Amino acid sequence: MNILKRLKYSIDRMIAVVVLLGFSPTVFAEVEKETGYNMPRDVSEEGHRITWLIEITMWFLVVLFILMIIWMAIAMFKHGENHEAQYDHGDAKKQVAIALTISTVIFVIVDGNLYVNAMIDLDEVFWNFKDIDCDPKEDETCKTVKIEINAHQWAWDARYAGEDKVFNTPDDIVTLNDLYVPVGQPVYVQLGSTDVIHSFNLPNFRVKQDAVPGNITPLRFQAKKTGEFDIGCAEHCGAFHYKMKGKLTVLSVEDYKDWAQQASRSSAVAFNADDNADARWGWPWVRYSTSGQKLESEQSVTDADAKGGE
Amino acid sequence: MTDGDEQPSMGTAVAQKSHILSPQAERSAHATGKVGMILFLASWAMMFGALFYSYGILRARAPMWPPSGVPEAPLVVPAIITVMIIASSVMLEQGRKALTAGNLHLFQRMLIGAVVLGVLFLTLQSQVWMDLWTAGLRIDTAGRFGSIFYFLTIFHAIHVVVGLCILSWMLRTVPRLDTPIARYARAQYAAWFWHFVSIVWLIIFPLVYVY
Amino acid sequence: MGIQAEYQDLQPVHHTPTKFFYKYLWSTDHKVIARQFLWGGLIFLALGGLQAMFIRWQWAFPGEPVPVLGEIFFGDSGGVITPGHYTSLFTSHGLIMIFWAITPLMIGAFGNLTIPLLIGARDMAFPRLNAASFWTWALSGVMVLTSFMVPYGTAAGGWTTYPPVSGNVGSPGWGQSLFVLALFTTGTATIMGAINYTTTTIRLRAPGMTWMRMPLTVWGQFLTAALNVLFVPVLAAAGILLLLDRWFGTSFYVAGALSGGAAGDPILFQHLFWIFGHPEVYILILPAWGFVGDFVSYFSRKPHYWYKGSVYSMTAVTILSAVVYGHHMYTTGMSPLLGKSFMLLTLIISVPAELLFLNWLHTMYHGSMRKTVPMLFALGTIFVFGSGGLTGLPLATISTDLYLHATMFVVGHFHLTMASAAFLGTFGAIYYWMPKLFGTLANERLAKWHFWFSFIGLNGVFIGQLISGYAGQPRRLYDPFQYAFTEHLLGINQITSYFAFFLAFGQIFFVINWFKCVFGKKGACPDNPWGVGTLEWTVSNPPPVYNFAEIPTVYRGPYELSNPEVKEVLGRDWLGQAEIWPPEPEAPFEQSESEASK
Repeated sequence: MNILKRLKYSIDRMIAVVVLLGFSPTVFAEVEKETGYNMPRDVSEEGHRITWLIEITMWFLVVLFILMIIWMAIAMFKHGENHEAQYDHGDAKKQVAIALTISTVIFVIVDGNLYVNAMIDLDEVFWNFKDIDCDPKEDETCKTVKIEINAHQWAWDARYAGEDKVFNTPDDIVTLNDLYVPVGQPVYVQLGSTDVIHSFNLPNFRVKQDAVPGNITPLRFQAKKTGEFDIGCAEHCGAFHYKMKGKLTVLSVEDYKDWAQQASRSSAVAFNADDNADARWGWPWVRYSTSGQKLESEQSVTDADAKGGE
Repeated sequence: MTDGDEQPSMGTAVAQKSHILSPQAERSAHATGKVGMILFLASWAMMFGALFYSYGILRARAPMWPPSGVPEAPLVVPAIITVMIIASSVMLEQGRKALTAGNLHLFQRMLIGAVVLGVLFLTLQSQVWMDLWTAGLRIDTAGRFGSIFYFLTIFHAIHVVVGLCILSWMLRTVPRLDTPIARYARAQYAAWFWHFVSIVWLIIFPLVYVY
Repeated sequence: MGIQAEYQDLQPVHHTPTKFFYKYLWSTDHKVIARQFLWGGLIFLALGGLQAMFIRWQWAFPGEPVPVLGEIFFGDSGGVITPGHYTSLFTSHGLIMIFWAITPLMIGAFGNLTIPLLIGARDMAFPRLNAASFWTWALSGVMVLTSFMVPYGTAAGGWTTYPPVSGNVGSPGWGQSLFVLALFTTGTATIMGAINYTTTTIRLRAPGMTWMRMPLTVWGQFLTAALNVLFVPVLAAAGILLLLDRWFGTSFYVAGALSGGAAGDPILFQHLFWIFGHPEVYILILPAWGFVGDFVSYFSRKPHYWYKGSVYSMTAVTILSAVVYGHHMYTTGMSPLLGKSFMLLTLIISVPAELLFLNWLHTMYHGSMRKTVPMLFALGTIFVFGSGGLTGLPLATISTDLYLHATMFVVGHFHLTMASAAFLGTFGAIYYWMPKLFGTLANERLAKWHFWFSFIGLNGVFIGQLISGYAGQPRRLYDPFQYAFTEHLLGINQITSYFAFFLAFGQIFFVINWFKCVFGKKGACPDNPWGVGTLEWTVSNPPPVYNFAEIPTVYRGPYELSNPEVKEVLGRDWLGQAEIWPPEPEAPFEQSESEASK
């Protein structure tokens, strides 16, 4: 490659960096710290379901535990050494019925509440990818922001399809530890990994999902507020697992559009076909059937596919 | 407080290792041995079960099966050795029946037959491996297919080897045991192990070769 | 006399060994083997505990050199725990505690000690296999210790050993492989023991000792042994495949260099591991449930409430434990149908556990509670298992688990249910059966100090972890305060660490007591110090080698306490399992003490 071409590529890359920086007003901003012992602030559209279910369950548990303590305290102090023990094997029909009834009632209330709500929440939101799996190329009204994330030791690579709405093309936006999403629009993430298992953790959205080598796993969320939030790794992935931090920035719809457009165009300009194959780690977007199974035709994602792409 | 080392004041003799049991006691000890042997085989069955489960998971989560580019596993020779291993189990059972009837000579003949069939099984199995190896199916380059195929069959073959050792040991020592129950018991434990190995093969063959 | 002669045949009385080698090292006496496991388990418990203290130090004072011990253990980094050290610490802490501390203590020691004595047998069904199981376990212990000394250090992939982190690339060197081999070896020892315990319980019960007359201690050991027989082999399979990947380049879990589109699947390991792993946590608690069930009855002087219900509950949990394992894998991208099935089954398994609890609570209610040392430990176990078990419910549920998975909430949950409950249960058992082990009662004051330090310490540490996990603190982090949502949690972590050091300090009371009991002068110890009717208290403390001079005939269950008729006739509130009742009319009050207490 002659020296002029090389110079052009370098200048293009510098422009791309400056543009990205310029339209990333929050790149040097810090994520707001939490206080107290409650769950971190919830900025997601649907996270309240989880927050509510955990909180109400904890109340149930506290009540049950206190009842148990009271029961034990009475036995310990009122039915102590000076109390006469009842000779009772407790196996009379009535007694058995009472014991079974108490267990069943507790089960139906506490476990039942958990089960029913979880089933609803999973089907409606957390394990439902059908509703947001539209293709922006075919459907103009599709608002889903699709992101492919490659987790590796010890950082998060993220890839957006860019303006052409196809993954693994020159105009893909590729970021490091730096996610941008618009507020109020569903975000559909697919996770992969090229080395060990990691887990993409968004505590402010109440969700996490493992990134498993040789697999593609889905995650969805939707932000309700703008701001910067932590991305953490929630699966032990080596000595520097604790440092695998990323930042999620939620922008207004307008700001996001601007960012996406500029970033996509800079990437297209900075694209280098001679780059190492590792740079094109994206994969064909995986579709899921209604039962949640990966569709046959796009299951073949492997290291080779993930690395090479087309 | 009694001294823990005191012997009981009963008139019975203190037992030695070569303690002679009454027939009733022998039967009882044999029943205990059977329980132990069943649990031992249950353990081993769970080990193989886990490997079959692994086969299932690897296969279910694979994009295609067999994966592209791997040499096809043969069918004829594995079918033949399947028949062989079934025959060896049948012969072993005949041998045990002969033992119970007191016919030591027939017992030994049947046992030798079972061992021979076992050895033939291993020989032909090795031939299958060598053919596949030269055809390009390697344990470390054929992905999950090569890994699970070789491991399942090799692990089973190791058990065949162990089974053959047990059968040979049985051949040598059973005739020398004192009582019919002792002979019967040892033959039973050894035979159970061999049948277990056969049954595992009867699962491997259709799963890995046929299906 | 005929039936006793048969027992003499079947359960012969062996020569009492006199040489040191046969008395203390290669002994086939289940009581000696129990003591061997007790020593071994306690040593590893101390090691695992020390590792926990290092972890807590790092979380309270991140990056600061560990005082005194830092130079010895982390000398290469000036006493500071590095990220590499840290990953090995939490990995080996978990593995050591589970396989080299709790298992030999609860199962190796107490399975061995209690089963023959409580069912009226002279020894285990296979005494030589028993001895072999101890030495196999000891060998595995040596392998673990060796793994600390190899280049690149010991295993560092978490006790869960997930590939690819535990594969060649994530964990190069011999440390991980050695640990897997050590697991293999201890697993073999466990299966050897488990075959023994189950066979013994099935075959060697004394006449009249029906299944439904066995103390819950024996039920706990039996069910644990059954689970061990069936599920440790699955761990062995998982481990073999991992070693094959590490040594021979196979592709079970990880992609080989030229995998050609059919690479290995790390999720396979998780399936195999948790098929073992979930029953394993029940393996580690069933013996404690057995102890608690018994102690609660004995020390409330009251029959165990609906004993059959407790047996059914423990059995139901045992059976169900096999089909709930997927709740460890909710975030792996499993099929939704599979995940939901696991959720339902996991929630269902809480019902028999609840029932068991109710039975314990009912037993102590309207009893006459004696706050003996074993009773304190039993109450403590109920307390920690209650809180810990309840926190399992939001973890069992998928949507709530999406937030709680891999946080300290999980760590607090399993340390309450598994570590604390097993810890308190085991020490309760040690104090209870000390007369059988070493012929003396433990010092009561020291034991009570030990209890209170342990109880307060355990609750402080693990409730602290529940709190920090609820606030989102992830687990297994070298420095948990790197995130904006965890920076403020340093305070609670420090408090939790202080509780941990408090817990560690409190063990000194046990250590003193232990050495006094084992090596000190034996005070006079009554034959039946706790006044209960189970068979082990009909023989001396410690029992003779052959346990029972005559195999007893059993007439009733172990919970005949506070029977008003017995109180009136015999003047005591307990009736032995093998005791003749009503007493022979010829000489009701001329029976000698020893005959009446048979």
